[in-house]
Amino acid sequence: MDDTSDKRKIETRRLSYFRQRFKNRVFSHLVEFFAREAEVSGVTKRDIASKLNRDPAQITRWLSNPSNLTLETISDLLLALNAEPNPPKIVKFSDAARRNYTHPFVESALETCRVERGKGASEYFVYEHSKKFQLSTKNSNEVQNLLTRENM
Amino acid sequence: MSIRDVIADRCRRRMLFPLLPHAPGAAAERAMFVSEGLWQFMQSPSPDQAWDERVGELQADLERFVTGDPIDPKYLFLLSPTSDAVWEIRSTRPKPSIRVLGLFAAKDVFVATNFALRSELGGWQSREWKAAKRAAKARWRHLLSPYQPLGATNYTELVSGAIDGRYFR
Repeated sequence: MDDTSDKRKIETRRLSYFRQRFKNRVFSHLVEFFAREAEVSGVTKRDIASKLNRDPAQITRWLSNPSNLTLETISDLLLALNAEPNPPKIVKFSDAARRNYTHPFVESALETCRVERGKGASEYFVYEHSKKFQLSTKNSNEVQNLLTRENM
Repeated sequence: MSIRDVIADRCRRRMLFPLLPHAPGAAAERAMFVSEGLWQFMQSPSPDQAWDERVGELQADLERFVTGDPIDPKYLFLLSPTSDAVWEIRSTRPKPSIRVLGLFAAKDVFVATNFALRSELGGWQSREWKAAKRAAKARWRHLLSPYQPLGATNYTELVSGAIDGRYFR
C-alpha cells in the first residue's frame, strides 16, 4: 500500500495519472447524473444553456471531455439541474477498501502468475506455473504493475 | 479452449497484458488486455517529462473502462466499416490526442491491439487510418484466431454501465 507521508518525490507519471483519474471520476459522475435527469425529466442541453445564458455548443463541450470542466463549470451545470455536488470524500490509500471483485477474465489471466518481493529493496520474484524467476528490472512502472497484480 | 482460456494463455506468454488499476482499492470490474506494443509504450520510462505526463494520463483514461466507470459516447467509438468491429478509445486531452484501437472478445472485455496519435491519422478515409484499422484486425487474428470479435454496433450492448448516447447529441 502507498504511504503518502513518506518524503520521496512523486514521479511525474504518477502525478499526471492521479490528476487525470480525479478528473475522469468527477466527469463520469456528472455525465451519468445528466443522462439520468435527461431520461427522467426530459431536460436537454439547450435547457441548461438557456438557464446559464450560454451557447448550447458550450454545454456540449463541457459534457464531452473531462478536461473541459472546471470547478466553476461543474457547479454551474449542476445548478442548472437543480443540484450541487457534495465535496469529495477523502480517503487515505491505507484506508482504501480492498477490492472484492475482479472480472473473471482478469482473474483467469492473473492465475497464471504471481509476484513476490524478495529480501532486497528492489528484488522481485515472479512465479509462473510453479517456476520461479527473478525479475531483473529497475523499471518502476513495470514493478508498480507487478505489485498491483500481486495486490489483486 | 474458451476465449477466456486463450486470453489467459496469451497473458502467460506475454503476448497480452491485463491492464490493472494503479489506484489502491480500485477494482477491475471490466477487463482490458493490452497487446505487447502498447504495453511497452505505457511501461517504458520516458526522458521527456511532457511525454511521461501524457502516458500517465493515458493510463488513467484507459482505466475508466477497467474500473467500471460509466462509458459515454465520446469515449468509445465504432470505426467504419462497422463490420470490422474495430473500436477506438479516445484519450483526447491534453494534446497530443491518442487513439487506442481494439476489439471486444466478450461483453466488458476489450483487447487493445494498437494505438496511434490522432495527428498522424489524418482524415477518416486516409491511408493511415486504414492502416491502423488493418493493424488492429491483423493483431486480433495473430492473438486470438479463430475466435471472432463481437460484432455488435451499439456500445451499450458491449459495455455494461454505458450511458445512452441520445442525450448527448
